[in-house]
Amino acid sequence: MRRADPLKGEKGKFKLMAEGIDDDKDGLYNEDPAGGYRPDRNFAHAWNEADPESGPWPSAQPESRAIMDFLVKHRNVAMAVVFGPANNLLEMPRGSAGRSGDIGSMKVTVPRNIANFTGLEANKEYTVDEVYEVLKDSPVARAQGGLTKEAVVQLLGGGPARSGGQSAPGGLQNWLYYQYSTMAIELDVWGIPKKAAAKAPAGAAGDALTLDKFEKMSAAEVAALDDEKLGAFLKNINAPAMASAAMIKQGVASGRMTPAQMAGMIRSQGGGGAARPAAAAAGGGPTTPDEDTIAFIDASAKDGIVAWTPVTLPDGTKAEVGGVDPFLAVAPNESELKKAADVHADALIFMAGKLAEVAIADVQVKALGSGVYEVSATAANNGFLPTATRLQVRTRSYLPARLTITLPSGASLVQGNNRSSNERITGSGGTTKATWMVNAAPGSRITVSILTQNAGEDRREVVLQ
Amino acid sequence: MMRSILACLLCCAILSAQTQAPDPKWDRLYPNAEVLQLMRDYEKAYPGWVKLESLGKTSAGGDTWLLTITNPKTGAAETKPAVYIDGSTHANEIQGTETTLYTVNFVLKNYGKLPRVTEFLDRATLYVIPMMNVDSRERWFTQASTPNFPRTLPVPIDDDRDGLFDEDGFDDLDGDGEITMMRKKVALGQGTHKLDPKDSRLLVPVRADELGDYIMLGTEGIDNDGDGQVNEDPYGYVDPNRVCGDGFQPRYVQAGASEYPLQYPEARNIAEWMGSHLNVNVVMSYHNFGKLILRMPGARSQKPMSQVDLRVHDFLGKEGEKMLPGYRYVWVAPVLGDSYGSSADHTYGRVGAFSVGIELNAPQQDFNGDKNVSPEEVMKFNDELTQGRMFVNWKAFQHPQYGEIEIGGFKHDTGRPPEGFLSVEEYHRNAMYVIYHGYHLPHLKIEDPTVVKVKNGLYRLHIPVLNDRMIPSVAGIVQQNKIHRQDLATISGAKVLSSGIVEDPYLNKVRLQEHRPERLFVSGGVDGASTKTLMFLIEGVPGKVTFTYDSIKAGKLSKEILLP
Repeated sequence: MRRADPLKGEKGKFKLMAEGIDDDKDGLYNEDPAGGYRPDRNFAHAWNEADPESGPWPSAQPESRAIMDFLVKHRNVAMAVVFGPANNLLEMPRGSAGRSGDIGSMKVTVPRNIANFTGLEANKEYTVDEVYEVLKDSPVARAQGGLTKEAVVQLLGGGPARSGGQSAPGGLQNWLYYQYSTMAIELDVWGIPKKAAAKAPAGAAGDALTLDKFEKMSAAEVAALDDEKLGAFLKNINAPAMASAAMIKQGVASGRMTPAQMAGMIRSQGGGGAARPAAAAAGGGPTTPDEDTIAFIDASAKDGIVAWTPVTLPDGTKAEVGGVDPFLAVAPNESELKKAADVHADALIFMAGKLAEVAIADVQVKALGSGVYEVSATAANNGFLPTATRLQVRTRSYLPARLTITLPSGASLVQGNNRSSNERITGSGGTTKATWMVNAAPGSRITVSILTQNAGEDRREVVLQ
Repeated sequence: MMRSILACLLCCAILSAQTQAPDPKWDRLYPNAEVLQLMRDYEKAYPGWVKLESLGKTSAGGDTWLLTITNPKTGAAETKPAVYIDGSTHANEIQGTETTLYTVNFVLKNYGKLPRVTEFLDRATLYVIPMMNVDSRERWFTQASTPNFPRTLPVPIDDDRDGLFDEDGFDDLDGDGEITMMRKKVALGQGTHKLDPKDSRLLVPVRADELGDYIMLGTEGIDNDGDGQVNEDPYGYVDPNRVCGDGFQPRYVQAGASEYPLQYPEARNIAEWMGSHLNVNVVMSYHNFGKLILRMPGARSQKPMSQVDLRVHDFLGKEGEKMLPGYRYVWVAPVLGDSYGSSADHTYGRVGAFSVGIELNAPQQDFNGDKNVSPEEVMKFNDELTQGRMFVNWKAFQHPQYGEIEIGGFKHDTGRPPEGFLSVEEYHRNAMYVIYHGYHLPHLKIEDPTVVKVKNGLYRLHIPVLNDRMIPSVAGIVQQNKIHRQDLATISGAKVLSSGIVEDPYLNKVRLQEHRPERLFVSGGVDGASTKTLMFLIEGVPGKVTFTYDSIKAGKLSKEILLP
């Protein structure tokens, strides 16, 4: 089933609803089933005040409260992974205001055919921002009224392997990130894969343009070519998306390049064959989730769809019952699940290995005379991630990293206090420092500590001498 | 035993003055134990009319005490439209409690004597929580306090983020039972203030070209935890008026918020109870200070109030300005600043009750009438009208961090609550304003129907339902947030073929309900001071049928209709 498109002159011919009857005869089907609130709609961030399924108020449900009560007592949670319906890796979380996340730091590789005309290196890893910088002022980008980072990803043949969806308003992931403010990610573990690439229909029709034919054409013949035909040809030979029919015609007409030279260039850039990544080479553009589902059913889940069977409802309404198994999209078969679970377990271990980890890096003692010692301490974050995200610096929901000095009795600080706080120690060797003037007997033992809630603790004892 | 209960019931039927009915004085404040005793005494004196119950334990082991007051012979409390009032959400805003008790005392003692009061308890319910933030209110009385402290819930919060909780609060350094202020005389040129030449109890800031010889050191206390800061992590700070569910924002957006909405039982007890008492139409929460009637929403970024509800709020608020001289009815956000998670936002958005915060009291000491109260005028009030009760004179003290200082200032029970001799008028006017809201609770009446015999066995009824008060039977917010079902109209004794809401009785325009005509949902209920006419087309025989109008917020009523 698909929605009727009024712009194509279509009118809807069916109503689609979940299987059931209008038990209370109020004209609505299945509007008041067993159960009520959805725990993943009952958290406080972006809670939907007018959705009966989101609960009478945020945090009303024992399920949501139990999770939060545990978490607020366990501020050592440095990262949270929610296995839920959305996949934040496939689709950038937009936040409650619907803003698009910045995909600029996403890593991409540049296929050879694009690399050659952009001056970038083929198959080297770039960020989207880096590629965007190179392409944003190109004539084609200007002609198109500017380039978006999303368009860059598409141009590179990227984009999500399947749709990821957004974490729910009032969902746990949103609360974890925006209110509890830990690093939080929602993963759906498995989903119906994008429809596998169809074979590009190059040369399928007898009169279709091929590279060989193009090469032998004169400038006038190229100028006379139908734009649509030329466009299809460009697509088949995996020409860059910005190489439009108009651009080719202009190039040939201006006499700067003959069709033969162009063909040579295309060949040298690896064009002419199926060099592009599969998703972009499918010919039909991005597929819809329904097309993906049908393709998946055809390929590996023959039982995933129930044939439509005519029924007559108690009130005499004629209907058909059937369609896609509602659990098809969330419940993989055993071997798929095992694969997905393994991947996710590995990813969790990998991510855990990237957490911030503080340690005392150095303690220097300098005797200044008269029993006064200058103690300088440095603590470092040896993990990859910072001790606090930018949001945590703002929310102050975790204690800062605290560098402290503990003195034996009889010793005192000449000035200041025993604690130096830092909201965020950056990852991979970021440091925080503190200096104290200590008035103590020679040989006194002092302890310097670095304390955090979510990146560990470390202590070092030193002797003042 | 049985005989005494019967005797009591007999006695209560007229609700005349009872020997055992409490007779509190209104020129003083009541510590928690006395408030609880008063509540118990009212329950004992008016059995059946007053019910005292705990809605649950609070954060430091107290109880959320609720009084339910209504005439039991005219229907159970939860079947009638209700006004809910509470006090001491902020523990230091102390006289909200006495305002609620005055209201309780007034309605119980004037039932049967004054028609509006009689009508109120006959057809409506008054719910009262005199001490919302009960544990901190107790502490305000029993431990050294200030006019501003303690205010919040008895929940330890690490305000200075050092890993320790409430370890550096205020200290009663001079042991006089009051936490006042600290000031210090310094060398000329090192200070920011000087003594007021007219009154050495007061400091005045120096002019830009003047040298000062005093500094102000803030509230009485020391650096308890040796971190170089004084009083930076006291008892509290989760604000029970910033923790509710509707419009909740976390602490980095809204100071005083909890980790999640309704995390602590003070607010949750009430929310859960009210969630199952949707007959509450009006919520009035007493705070101080400034003589304000505050309507929601709490923040400018929230959805504005619908016009239908605003009209009702505006009407009641403007009447309040007349009944409470000096009070201003305002939208809270632009006047007091944006706030999220307030209880009034919650009871409006989640219960569908018209909810206001009332800021009691304002400065009484404007002797020269310039609309401004100077420190000299406050001191004059202290000296002449309280004979010096309010102010603790400065005394020398040796402070561990600041050395030689002076400690003194106003006592904790001054300023925010009025002095006793001024309090009763304000309690009374506010109690009357509660009864005024009680009067305007939706009051439905099924008017005489128009019955048309279309043909034998087929009748068309037009049944007008009148609401002769200002509050609608279904508030706009109830529909907007889908809080509860709409009003429901039914006919028994005949088969309903069709039903709908009459949009124009003269032109016979009816908005028909498409499905299940025997259960007519009256979308939007009956607005304030208006009539909604309902149409039923029924198959029946001459005789009686019963029409029933069932409203969650306005009660359930029926009328027999004769089919000719």
